[in-house]
Amino acid sequence: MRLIEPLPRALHPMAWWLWALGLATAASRTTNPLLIAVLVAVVAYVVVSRRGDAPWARAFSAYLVLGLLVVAIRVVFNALLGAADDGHVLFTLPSVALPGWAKGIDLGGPVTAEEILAAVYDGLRLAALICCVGAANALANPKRALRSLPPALYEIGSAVVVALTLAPQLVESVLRVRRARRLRAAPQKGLHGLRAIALPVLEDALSRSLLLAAAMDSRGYGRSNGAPLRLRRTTSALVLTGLLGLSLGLYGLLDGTAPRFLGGGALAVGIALSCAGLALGGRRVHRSTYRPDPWRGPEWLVGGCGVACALVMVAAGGYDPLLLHPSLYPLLWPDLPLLPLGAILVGVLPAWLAPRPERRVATRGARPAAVTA
Amino acid sequence: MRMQAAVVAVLSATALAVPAAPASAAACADPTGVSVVVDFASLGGGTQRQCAPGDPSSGVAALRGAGFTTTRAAQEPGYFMCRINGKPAQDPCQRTSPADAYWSYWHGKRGGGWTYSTLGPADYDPAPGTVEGWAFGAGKPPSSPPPAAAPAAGVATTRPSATPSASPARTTPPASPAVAAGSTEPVLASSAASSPAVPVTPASSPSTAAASPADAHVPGTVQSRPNKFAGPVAAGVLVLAILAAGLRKLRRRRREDVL
Repeated sequence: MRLIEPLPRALHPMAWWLWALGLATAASRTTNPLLIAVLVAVVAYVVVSRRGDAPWARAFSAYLVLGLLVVAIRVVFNALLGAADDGHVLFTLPSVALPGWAKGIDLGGPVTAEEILAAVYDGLRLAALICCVGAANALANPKRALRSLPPALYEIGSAVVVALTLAPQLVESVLRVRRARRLRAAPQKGLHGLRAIALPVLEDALSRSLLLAAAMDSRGYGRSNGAPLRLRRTTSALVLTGLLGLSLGLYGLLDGTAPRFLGGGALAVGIALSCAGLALGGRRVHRSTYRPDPWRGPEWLVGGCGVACALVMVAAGGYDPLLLHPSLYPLLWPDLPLLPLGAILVGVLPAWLAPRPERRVATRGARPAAVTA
Repeated sequence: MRMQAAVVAVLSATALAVPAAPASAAACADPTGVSVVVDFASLGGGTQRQCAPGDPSSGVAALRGAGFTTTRAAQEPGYFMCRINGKPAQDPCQRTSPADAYWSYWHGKRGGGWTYSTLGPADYDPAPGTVEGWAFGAGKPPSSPPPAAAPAAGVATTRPSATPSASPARTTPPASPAVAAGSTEPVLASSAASSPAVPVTPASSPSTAAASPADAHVPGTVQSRPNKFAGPVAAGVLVLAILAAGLRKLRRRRREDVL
């Protein structure tokens, strides 16, 4: 028993997003399957230890399944379409001879271990990114995350609300509809089950996202506050071009092969434009806060873990490409480099640094037995 | 399978070449065989012409049969030619090379012109008697046209065939006339007009060609590490430990929920 147990509370959603995006950045810098496996395990462990009872907290397993699906699809396509030059042939598919103008494409033919591994390595990296986003969705309260958005984004308020909350709501709806069908002993598997579940789920998720947007609108989000049309247009133009520059810049920064000026330049321009737009738009929006989300020590620590992990991985990119991107030709066992491993293990610290989430079971026995049975 | 074919091609090349070693130097003397022209351009080393005897099964096999060493990009599933004879050394050879510094691949007929290859070097099967071209840079064809049908006699025979590695011809930098002229245009003219002026690198002796049938390996720490299984085993143990801790936490949570 620790002496000072902090009170259970929800961490600031932006801290969780910062942590998850930091780990995602780290994952994007390597194709080493060992590092990726450790990273996914780390993310899963933090989710298991610090998620709450909210419906979206169960979303993580859905993202895991999606990640596995990505790997499987890549493997199948690489086996079907990949051109096997030299390598260790695992098996041979029946090959289709294509006409001369499509000779660059190999359909079928020998499938080599190198091809399959290339697909697995790349697929795993994408799956890790998906897992990181899934972890952020499971840990951070999407509605409160919405509140921390800068006021100028309220101009496009409903769209942002729907975009940010649709995925978590979808998972929540799936769980609800499946539970209802289970109670009625209706089939849940197969094509019929899929159709019977998919439609109500889509409708439910969308309508609830819209409901949330309408509720926020009625409380003053997305109001133009009677500002002149020209000012409103200027704000929107500034924010939108700024965000475009920001995405371009981030792309250039994170993609190691992109030209340098794309990263730095576009990012700087994007940040400047967005800040101008946000400041301009934010001047007119006034709102009061009920139950503020504090940003205290744990928030700094959790966000810092993600940022530190990303920084070390980006810096480590130059020191030995063979360790971060194991060689396939010739086929070699991947190694486990210590510095990137340490960086990824820093990502597991939020499992202890973050405060415990508030849980319903604090009042034990309050739930009816029939629900849990 | 192709690799085996390449090995066979190289082995047969040595079998053919040993009695008449000069055959592999410069463009092919006989109408069969595939001539290989490699333009090192900015890398230094000028244009080298060699002959891959027999009928190589692919462009890669032709390069190797002509005595060049090849390195492919280590992570590209398709064969991407990254280095020829170890150049460019500064390219990490992980993924495809940058668009302004890569080996472009060309086909040609004896005495004809160059056409850009629409296939990768591992997919294209050069016909006997044709010419294969490789040029480093931004996708320009080799600076000299495919060698004419009549082979320039006497270039190769002057080379002492007994000690090919000691041949001094290797050291002559070919770009020097171009540098003296101060423009790239004269290179094209001079190297094309007078084939003896084109420094013919002594064909790496047949034995070295046979010794490197596969790609030249990327030198790195990974090659020489003591235990190749240490990394995977350590990672496996670590992942299992984390997952076990997570499962325990999950189970405890379930127990709490039921209470």
